[in-house]
Amino acid sequence: MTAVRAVLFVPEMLVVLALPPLLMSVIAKTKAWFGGRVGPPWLQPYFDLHKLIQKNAVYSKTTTWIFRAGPIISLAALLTAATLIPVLSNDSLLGFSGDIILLAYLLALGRMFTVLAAMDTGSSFEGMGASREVTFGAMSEPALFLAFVVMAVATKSLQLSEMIGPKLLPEWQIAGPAMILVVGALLVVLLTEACRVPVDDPATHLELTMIHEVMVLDHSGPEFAFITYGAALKFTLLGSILVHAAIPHPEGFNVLSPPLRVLELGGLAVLVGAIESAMARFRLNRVPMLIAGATVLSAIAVVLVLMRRTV
Amino acid sequence: MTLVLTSLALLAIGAATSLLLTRVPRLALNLGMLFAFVAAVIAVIAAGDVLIRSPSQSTYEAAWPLSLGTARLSLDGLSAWFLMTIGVLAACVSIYSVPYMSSAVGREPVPVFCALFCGLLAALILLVCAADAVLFLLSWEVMTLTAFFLIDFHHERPEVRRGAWMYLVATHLGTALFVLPLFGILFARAGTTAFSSFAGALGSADRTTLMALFALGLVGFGTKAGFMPMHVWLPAAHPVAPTPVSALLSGVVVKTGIYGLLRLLSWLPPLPLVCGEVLLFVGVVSGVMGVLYALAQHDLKHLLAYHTVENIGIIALGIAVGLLGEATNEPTLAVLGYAGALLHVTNHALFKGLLFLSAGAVLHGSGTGEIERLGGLARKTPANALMFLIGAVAICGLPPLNGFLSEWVIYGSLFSGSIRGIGASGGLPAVGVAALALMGGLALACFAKVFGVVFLGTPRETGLQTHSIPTGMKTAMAALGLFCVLIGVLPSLWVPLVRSATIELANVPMGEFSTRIDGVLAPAIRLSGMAVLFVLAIGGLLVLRRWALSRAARRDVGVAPTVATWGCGYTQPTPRMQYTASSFASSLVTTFRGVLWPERMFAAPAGSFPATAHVETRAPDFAEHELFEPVFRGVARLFAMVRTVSWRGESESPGVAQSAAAHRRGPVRTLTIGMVSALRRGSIQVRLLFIVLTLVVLFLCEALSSVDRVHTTTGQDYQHTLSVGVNR
Amino acid sequence: MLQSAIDSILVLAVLLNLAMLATSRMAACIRTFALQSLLLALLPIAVGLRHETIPGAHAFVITAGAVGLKVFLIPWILLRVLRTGEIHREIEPFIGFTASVMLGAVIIVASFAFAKRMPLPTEAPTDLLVPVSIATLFNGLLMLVSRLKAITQVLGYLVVENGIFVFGLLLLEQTPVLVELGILLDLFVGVFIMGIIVYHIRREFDHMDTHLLDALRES
Repeated sequence: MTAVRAVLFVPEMLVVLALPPLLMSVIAKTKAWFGGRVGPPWLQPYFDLHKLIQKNAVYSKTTTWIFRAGPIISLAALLTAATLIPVLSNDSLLGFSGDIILLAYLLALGRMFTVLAAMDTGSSFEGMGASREVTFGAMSEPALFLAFVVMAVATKSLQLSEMIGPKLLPEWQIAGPAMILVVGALLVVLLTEACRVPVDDPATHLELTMIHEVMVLDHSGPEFAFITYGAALKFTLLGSILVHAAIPHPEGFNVLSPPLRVLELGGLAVLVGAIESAMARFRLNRVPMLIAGATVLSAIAVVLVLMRRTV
Repeated sequence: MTLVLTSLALLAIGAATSLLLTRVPRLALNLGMLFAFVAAVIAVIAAGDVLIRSPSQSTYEAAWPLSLGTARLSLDGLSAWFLMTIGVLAACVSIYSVPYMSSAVGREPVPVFCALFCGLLAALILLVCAADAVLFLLSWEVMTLTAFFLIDFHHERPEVRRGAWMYLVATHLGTALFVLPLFGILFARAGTTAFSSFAGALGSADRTTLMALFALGLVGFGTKAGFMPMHVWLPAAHPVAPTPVSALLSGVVVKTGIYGLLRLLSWLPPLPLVCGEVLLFVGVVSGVMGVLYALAQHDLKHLLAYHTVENIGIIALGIAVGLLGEATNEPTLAVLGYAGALLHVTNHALFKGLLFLSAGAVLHGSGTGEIERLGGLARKTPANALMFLIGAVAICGLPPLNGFLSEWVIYGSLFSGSIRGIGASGGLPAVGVAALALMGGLALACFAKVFGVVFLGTPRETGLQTHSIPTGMKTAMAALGLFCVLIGVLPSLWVPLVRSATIELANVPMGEFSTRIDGVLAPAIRLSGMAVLFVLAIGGLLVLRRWALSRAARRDVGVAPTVATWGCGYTQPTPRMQYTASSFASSLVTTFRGVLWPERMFAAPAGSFPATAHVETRAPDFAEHELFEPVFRGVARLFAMVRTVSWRGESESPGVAQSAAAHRRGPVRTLTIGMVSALRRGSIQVRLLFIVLTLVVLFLCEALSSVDRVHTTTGQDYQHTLSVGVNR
Repeated sequence: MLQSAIDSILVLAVLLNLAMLATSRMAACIRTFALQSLLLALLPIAVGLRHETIPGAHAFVITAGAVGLKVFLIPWILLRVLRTGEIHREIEPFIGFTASVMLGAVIIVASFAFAKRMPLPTEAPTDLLVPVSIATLFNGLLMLVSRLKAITQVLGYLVVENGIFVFGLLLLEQTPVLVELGILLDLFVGVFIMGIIVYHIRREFDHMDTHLLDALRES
């Protein structure tokens, strides 16, 4: 790591932290375009966050400190995870060998505390959302880890920035089908973890059909701002893993690379928006099928990549 | 070594004192537990001395000979690691026991409890330090018996008797049928009962002998450890024991099974690959099934008992990778696997001990462990809630606590196995990774359920009394919680301690170990940095929140208002409207109904004014009802034929489930009946199924016969290369 | 390039097996089968291209036959039966959809393990060929065993044939074209007869479950 890199990290991190609401805006605009509307202004998510942070918070009588700690710990876990994920360049800030496991478990830590905050309200709606969240979260975990196995075997590394970095380029030539399967699995994991259609519908206002939104019904004010921002950040982080795995950039620092990454993330947001416009949310009992399908994709990719390696 | 002997002596004095002071039970309790505490601390010091300073072992040989062997004690790295685990947990549990048992003074024979407690502790210490087969088996037996009497402490309740009997029968069957023959073979080969002679005697053993020894150890010690089909005694015995005993059972008694297995492995030369593969499979099944059964439980301690099965599965995964590494001569893999397993042994003892103690505090305070009846305890007992939360986060393997550290090492070993193409060319470790990931997710769901329902929300029943929790209990829990946090945040202080035990298991020289472990475990130090970062992030967000709220408060009137929970328009929420634990788990339980076979008794509300409706779900243990029950019933029938004398009340057969359960249709019976009747009707599908099965068998035969071919060819190749080497 | 095209076709074919196990709509299932057959029908030409610069007439004949029969004719017959038979268009499985997909995945992984140990008469054009063939065969058998309706049984039978077709590619050069065509003809006649039978079952008994056919017996 050179001095140039170290200097560039500060602006990079700032861009990474500023980007998530914009991606949400891209999704909203895409959906509006499909619906023949203009859609909200590009900066609307930032306005929303600003509005929320100015508001006062309302707390339920039943809640304890867990309810207040939930959003903070979840967002803190995501911020910590952000230092492990390469977003704009091929390197992450603090990556080390084995950081993928820490990354996945930091996301799980965030999930645990979001769920506990929901359970703290004593509301049946939020309990329902929490139950669905842990169910789909638990089921998507094997898909994610098997995808990690594919990339670890392909690059012989356990560090995320290497696993989805330039070392993956030759793998696309040797075991292209396996990589396509992995990218497909990662897309499903992204849609599940970030609570997008067809797993969850962030736009609906029927409490009974939602997962993530129903869990955070009782949060308000700055804490709700943390949650909204956290959801966008989670989308960005998982999205950049997907983008990096799908389109590995070549070795070395390239001036064009970071803007290209931003565009790729924007493209992913357009794709997610298109999916949301094109298909309806799955019936809840069909969602496990989707996630199991993703696990199967990853598992077949593992088989393919292990076979290619031994031959 | 003198320290270990001192500790044993103190325990003997403690046991004797509490038995002598039967008339003054309170004094007996205080004194007995004091002796136990001091003995445990001394044991920790003895273990720490070996772990920190010297990897060389110290031995002690008693002057008096036993009938077959000698009373030989030795403290090497492996013993010291387990001794430390036992000592730390036992010290905390003995502090906890004083206030916990003092409420029983006068009603129950508390001094006997103390004496048995000291006895169990002494047996545990003796067991892990024994360097002679006879002494080992003796202390194994003493441990089993003292634990049995401790489980059976509240023997007036029938389910307690049943759990205790199941424990006794299961572990004795394991000991008699598997552990004794194991030591018999070892004795026959070595000629002595000294542990030190076993390794040399096995150096020339052939493949079959090695595999037989491994199989005996796996089943025999696995019964004590609770590997999946042999786990049936765990969920029966853990919940019914007094809480301090549950904590010890789950934290260390179960681990003696792991200790036995590891001790056996330290004597055996590198085993064939298939042993590691089998153990990996056992680990996956125990882990996933353990956590699934845990999800479906309604009782706090039952649930924790099934989580012990899960964590034993995780430990088995680590040992399996260690075996695979040894078999393929990959020291890195062996080191990582064994180190992960050993770390998880200790970590599990700490957080499971904490969870049991915390659950005991719930029981102590509310008088019930039924999850559905509890609720909102975080308001009444905030300290206990925090302790349970620490334990829950740790057992889910979440950073920054200790559970993450050991799971991280085991993940690392599995990933490396996949990368190096070991175990079905890397496929099996990949299965392990997926299973471990699934376990993590399910454990999170399970503990979100428990903590959310028991501690959060509002109380579900108003009638439950809540005592405050005595300081002694809080102190013990706080100590365990502190260990959980410290190990997770400062792994660089902790991981080096596992060095000498791992070296003994992985058969690698010291220098090699250092390079391997530094290359792989050095990143563990980064975890501290990440923890600091995480805390900083939390701090920053807290400041931000405070700033935003105070600004809003200045602008509005007053601080954050408090209202009722948003009920989506409904303004009169009652505690009964909260989501229940069963509902919370039901989406996962139904998703996995194919492996769990949950039972559901449902009386739907009927009519315009429904009076009563009823729903009850439970998940009967597959191994207990489908595997052991038929066998035991068959044995009972066999003995009934031989028996001539009968007495009243003979229908109660210990160890076997009551007859009410016998009439239910388990999955095996349902499937068999369905198949047979379909076949009789002439169902096309079932006929096709038999054709398919025939085809599968043919394929299997083909695959297996070609395995033999592959083996012989590689053998020839090997000889060929050998001869080439000689010619050259 | 060609190699990775063949590999992609094979992987896609395996995934389509799972898609067939996952779908709950009969018509979608039939169309998926048609797609799988189309992909597999391309293989003889692709494999031929690997051996020589211009694949022999042999390969083209097989491809043409397979496309004509399994991509157009048989799906058309089945869809027609589905329409005219006024069959309830949901598939009714013995084993749940998610469970069948998981079973299918286990079958696929197991076939990869088997295939490594299978002694082969000739060298496979790609190492994916044999596992994909076994996986398709067993997934077809799984459909046969786990589905209730006569049409899905026919479909399962056809998927089994697809698996055998893939295996046949191993012996592409050795097998006379007549044998291949004979197999295709058998298939066609089989499906044709099944179609007629299914249509008549529907006419006579008002339902389509093979399950209920069990009640038919002499006496």
